[in-house]
Amino acid sequence: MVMGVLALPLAFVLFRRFPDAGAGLSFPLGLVFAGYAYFVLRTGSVLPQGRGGAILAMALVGLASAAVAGQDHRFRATLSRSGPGVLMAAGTFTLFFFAFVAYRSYVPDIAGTEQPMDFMYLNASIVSPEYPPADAWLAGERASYYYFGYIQAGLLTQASGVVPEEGYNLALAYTFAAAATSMASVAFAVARWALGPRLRRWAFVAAAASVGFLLFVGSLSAVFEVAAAHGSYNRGLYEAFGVEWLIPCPAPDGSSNAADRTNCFTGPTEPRTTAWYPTEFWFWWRGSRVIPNTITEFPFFSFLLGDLHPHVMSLPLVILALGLAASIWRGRSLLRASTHLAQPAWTLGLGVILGSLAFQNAWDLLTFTAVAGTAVFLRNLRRGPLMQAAPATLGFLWPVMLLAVALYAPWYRDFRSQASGFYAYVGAGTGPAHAFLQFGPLLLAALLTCTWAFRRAPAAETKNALLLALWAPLLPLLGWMLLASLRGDFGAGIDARDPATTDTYGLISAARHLLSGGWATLALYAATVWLLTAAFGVLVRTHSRTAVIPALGAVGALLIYGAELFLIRDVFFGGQPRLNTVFKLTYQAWMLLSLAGGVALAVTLARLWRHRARAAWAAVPVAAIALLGLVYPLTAAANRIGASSEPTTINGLAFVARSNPGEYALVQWVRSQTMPGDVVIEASGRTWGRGQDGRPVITNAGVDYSESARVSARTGRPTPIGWYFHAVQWRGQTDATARDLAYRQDLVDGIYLAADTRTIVPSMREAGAEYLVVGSIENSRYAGLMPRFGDVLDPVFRTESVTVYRVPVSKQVRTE
Amino acid sequence: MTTEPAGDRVEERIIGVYVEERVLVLESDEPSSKRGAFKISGAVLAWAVLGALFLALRLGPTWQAPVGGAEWLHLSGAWQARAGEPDGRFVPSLFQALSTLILHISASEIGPRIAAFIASASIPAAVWMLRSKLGEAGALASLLLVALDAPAIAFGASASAMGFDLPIALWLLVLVTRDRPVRPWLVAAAAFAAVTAGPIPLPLIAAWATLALARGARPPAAQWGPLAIGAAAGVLAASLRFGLGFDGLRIPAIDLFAASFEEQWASSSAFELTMLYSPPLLVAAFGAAIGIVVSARKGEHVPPVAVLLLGWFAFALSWLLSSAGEHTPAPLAAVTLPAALLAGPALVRAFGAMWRAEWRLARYLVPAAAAFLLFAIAIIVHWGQVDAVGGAQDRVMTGLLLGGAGVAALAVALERRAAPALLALGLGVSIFPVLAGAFGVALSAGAEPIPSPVSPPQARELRDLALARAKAGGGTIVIHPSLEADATWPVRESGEITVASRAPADAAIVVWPADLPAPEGMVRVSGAWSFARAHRAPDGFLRYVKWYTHRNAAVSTSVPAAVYVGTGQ
Repeated sequence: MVMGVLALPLAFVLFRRFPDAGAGLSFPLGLVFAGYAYFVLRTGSVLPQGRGGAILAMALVGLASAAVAGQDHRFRATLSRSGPGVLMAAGTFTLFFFAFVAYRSYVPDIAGTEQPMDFMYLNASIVSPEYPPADAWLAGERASYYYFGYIQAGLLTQASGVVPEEGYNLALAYTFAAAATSMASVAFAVARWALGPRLRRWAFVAAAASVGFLLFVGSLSAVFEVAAAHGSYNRGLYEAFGVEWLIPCPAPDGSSNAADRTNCFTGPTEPRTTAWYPTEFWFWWRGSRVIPNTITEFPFFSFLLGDLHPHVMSLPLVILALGLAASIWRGRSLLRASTHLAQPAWTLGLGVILGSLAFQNAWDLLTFTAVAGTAVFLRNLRRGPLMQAAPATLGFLWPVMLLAVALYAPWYRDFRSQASGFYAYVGAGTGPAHAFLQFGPLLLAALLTCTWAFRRAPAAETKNALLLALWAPLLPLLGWMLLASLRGDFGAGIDARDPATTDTYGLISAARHLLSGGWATLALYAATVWLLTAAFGVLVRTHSRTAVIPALGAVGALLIYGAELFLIRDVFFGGQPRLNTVFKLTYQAWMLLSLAGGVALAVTLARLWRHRARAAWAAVPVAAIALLGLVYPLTAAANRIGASSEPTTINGLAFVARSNPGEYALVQWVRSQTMPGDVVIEASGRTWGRGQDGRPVITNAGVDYSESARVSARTGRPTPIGWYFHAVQWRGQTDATARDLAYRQDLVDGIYLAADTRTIVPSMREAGAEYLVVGSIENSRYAGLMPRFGDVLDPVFRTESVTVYRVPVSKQVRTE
Repeated sequence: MTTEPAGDRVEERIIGVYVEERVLVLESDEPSSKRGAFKISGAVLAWAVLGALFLALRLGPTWQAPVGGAEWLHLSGAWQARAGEPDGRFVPSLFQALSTLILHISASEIGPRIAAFIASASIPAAVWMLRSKLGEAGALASLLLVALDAPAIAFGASASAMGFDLPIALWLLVLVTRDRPVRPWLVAAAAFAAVTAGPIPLPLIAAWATLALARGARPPAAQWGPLAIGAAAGVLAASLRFGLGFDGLRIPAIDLFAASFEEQWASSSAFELTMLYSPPLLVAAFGAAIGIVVSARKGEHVPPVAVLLLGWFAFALSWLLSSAGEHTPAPLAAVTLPAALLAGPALVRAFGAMWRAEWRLARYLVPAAAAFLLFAIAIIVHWGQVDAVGGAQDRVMTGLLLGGAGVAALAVALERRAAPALLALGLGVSIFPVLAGAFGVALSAGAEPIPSPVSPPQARELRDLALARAKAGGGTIVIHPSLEADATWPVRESGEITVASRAPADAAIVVWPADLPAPEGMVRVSGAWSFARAHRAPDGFLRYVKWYTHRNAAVSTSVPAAVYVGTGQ
């Protein structure tokens, strides 16, 4: 809240045309600027590590705001005008923040999935003695990840003086609240512009609907989950929607073949719950895996799960970027290169915000800078002809983009992207039913635009727009064909999306097969892109203020369509080639479509309110489908909270204190008694046993998603090696990386398995380590194989289950 | 010696506000009315008395206070720098650099403290310079508040890296509120001082910068150059650690601000220290701040200096609030100056209002309330002494007395013209904790929670013993790494010592944590040794009352050390 207040004058300048003057966006705005100041000044060794540095970074934002307010002759007037908006923003933020804190207090544990990894980055960003921050799971190396979100979360954690395990959960709450407040602000502004003075009261509906779409609507698969859990299902319907895995396998009566039993629920056949919601452990997980071999995560799932991932933390920032694009689009003057000379502070602000997109979640950079760039172009197009607008736009954009990259040069220097190519996707596509379950409510809401976009335009205009808009879906398709042909995969790509198999049983069956194939989905996506683009074209040509709605919707649909045609190659390429592409692009689409859908719904209702029958015809089914999307959040939240039996708290390590007090004491000791940069040796994660010849052998080499490197994750102290496969993802799948990681694993395991204790201290020095931990994880990974460390190391901390050793100290000190 | 009024504007009934209008005429051979008579105005006398009080209260800590808190840490850092091995405890502030230099001349802590004392001695002069802004009486009252403020006393004579901070902050205020243009060299010097000072001037700088930026004000173009040169010279000097070698980009004010959150500069938290020493001053400052805000809301003119003081107070208070749980007295010291400068003039105004108040009713009720309060306090003090709340009868009695005091005070408060008379009650209640804190820190700092933890004199005895043993029997002095930081200061001037976690074979004497097993082949030297002693803030209200009435009752803890010598010795 303090951050939001501090950044208000900055928001006023950037978003003056918003009804709330950007008050709702001031939370992420302030945090982005403070985070950037912290990052740069720590990298430049101006700010020291710790809470004081965080507070000073925030104070700098206050000073910048004071400077802006001093120069802004409309500051007082804007403050006075936006008073209600400021109060609304503060109220919305407070409500959502405490609501999420209340939810999270039931499930506060930082455990499972990738939460230890998130916690490691959060701690590393807080305690790293040097900046850019160290990779705590690869001692001696700097982090190679998009970690700006962790810096911001760390900033809030430090400034508010809470411990990181509380800061983690509060950062999630902040993200949730800031996303809601920002989305409400942008949706309200766009709707007010679109609705005009007569209908502007409907803008509240747009704000509420957009926030609802973004943060609450979930996969429609939950409807099937609920019915299946209660034993009320129709097998045909489930099969038609491709969710047959939710219902019990058919009885083996001889008629069903083995294949029928591979894609069904293998648990009990009787109803799985007596409650109103499914009580099966983590049933809601399946809602994020609706399209096979992909991740179809959406914001509600993210917050329900509680991973503090970059794509989650970037929600408020992305909405801020959307707001910036809306603000640019709404402005009046021509934007060109000379604008930067007239308004250098504004250019700097743009550079910081747009540049941070990559730093926070690299996937967002292209999409949302493209949106901002389009906004600049459309604004310039309003001021002059194409031949003037295009060069002016380019002249304006290139310095901004240059600045956006230059400002984050210290991060780019260390960042290694795991992306290794752009490919045509030639696997089986998404089935239409799955597409509907996942994106139906949002796409339909965005398509509501078409109910009024074409009505007032001349027929010729509409026809032209429809023809021109054909290129929007066609160009990606042509690109796909070209790419696939170049790699010789064209034929395979065509066949893979064709569901027609040999077992066609007539016309209906064939139609069903055709409609369940990837081509049908592609056609649906293409039609959506086409219609929304055409709607946008028509509205632009008729100078309608509503043009921005289908524009946002078209970009969102285009992202989903693009994820169906292309993929970014990464380490998952072999098994699940488009896993991340679908995941990251559809997540972006979710944000865009939430905004477009929410505003479109409000505008449609507002326009048709006088003709309620027509309203019912168009908006009510969409609203009904959207309401079905609320089944997921209701049942999933009930499931998650219902499974909790521990006392409520926001301390993410309370479960460790309860279940393993020794480990908890270890964390506290390491935090208080070691220096932030001290390297701590802990189990590499590989499990060892004794071979037949009596020598240690690896019995389990898997280390990721386990408790290995937990001391490092919980304290930010570097350890030589953390989660192996994650290090590969962050560093790239190269021989050099593999060699380095294997060397580190061997070094650590060599210490824990030392046959000759005299090798321990030299090995620890080689690892640059000062401390060695022997706790429950080490006792399980090296059971019965560890040497007597006390012979060569000093025990410095001991509980029943944990001992920490330190390399003996001996030095001469001059005292005069 | 006679006293006579000078001029027509004498207002005898408002003591303090117009005190400058009275003159003191010393006897001389010539008639008093003649030219050349040696006259001392009452104001000058008041300045002299308060200045003397200010200095006198800082003499004790300069000479006799044990080395403690941040001072301990920074003197250790300065000593290591003097020994040619600067470590993280050396923060390159101007004062730290000067301390290192002084330690070359004398190994005592008194040398650097005298430097801090001399710098603090300029505070009365700086407040005097502000009298045109605060009013003569207001400035005097402010000086009195600063003089009696326990954290300011502790900091004023402390050889921590922030030894120059309070005077620098105040002189910066003098500079930025000057009506006349500031000379370029002074601008450069101020920038240099601000950059090489500790964190205490930061709230003032932040407030000044915020107000200047918000008003769209910029320093005159002619001052940018000196400002930049001074600041750059400061950054350069600090980065070069004043000649000890380059250590990356360093800005001591920022480093020490951050360190105030990370390091243990006190045994008690900032909140606890505030509760022990500063409630009266903070209440007065809050009252003054509210008064200024109310005036502004009414559309009355608020002088720029008052706005600046308000901003300074707000920033300092924000620091104090955000540090509430941290073990540091620095934000408390930082809040002292703006609080005193705000409260001083406000107290004078309030005093005037009290003087003019309608006392017809108050002259009975205020003493009655005071009497009730006194009796109640007497009972509570007794509870504090026995560390237990009394029986039902005592509690009822105390409740009735407090209730009676409250009713009497309320009756006065409800009568608008009589309400200012309540200030007498407030002053009566406040004066005792203020004086107790001031004299506690000034005269027996070794037993106060500020400064604490301290390096006990016994640590120096331990060093003498170790040196004697090493000299007699040969071998090295060995200190365990966990005691290294605490031992740096008391073990100074001891040649080369060994810091080791395992006693080497040639160890003559080993200083070890008491909870670790004895090093092999060594015997323990009897005695209760310690390198650190701490006085914590009393926990709980009754303990506070006990501590308040019996200053030595504070809980004292030591970190025990064990001393071992070889069996042959």
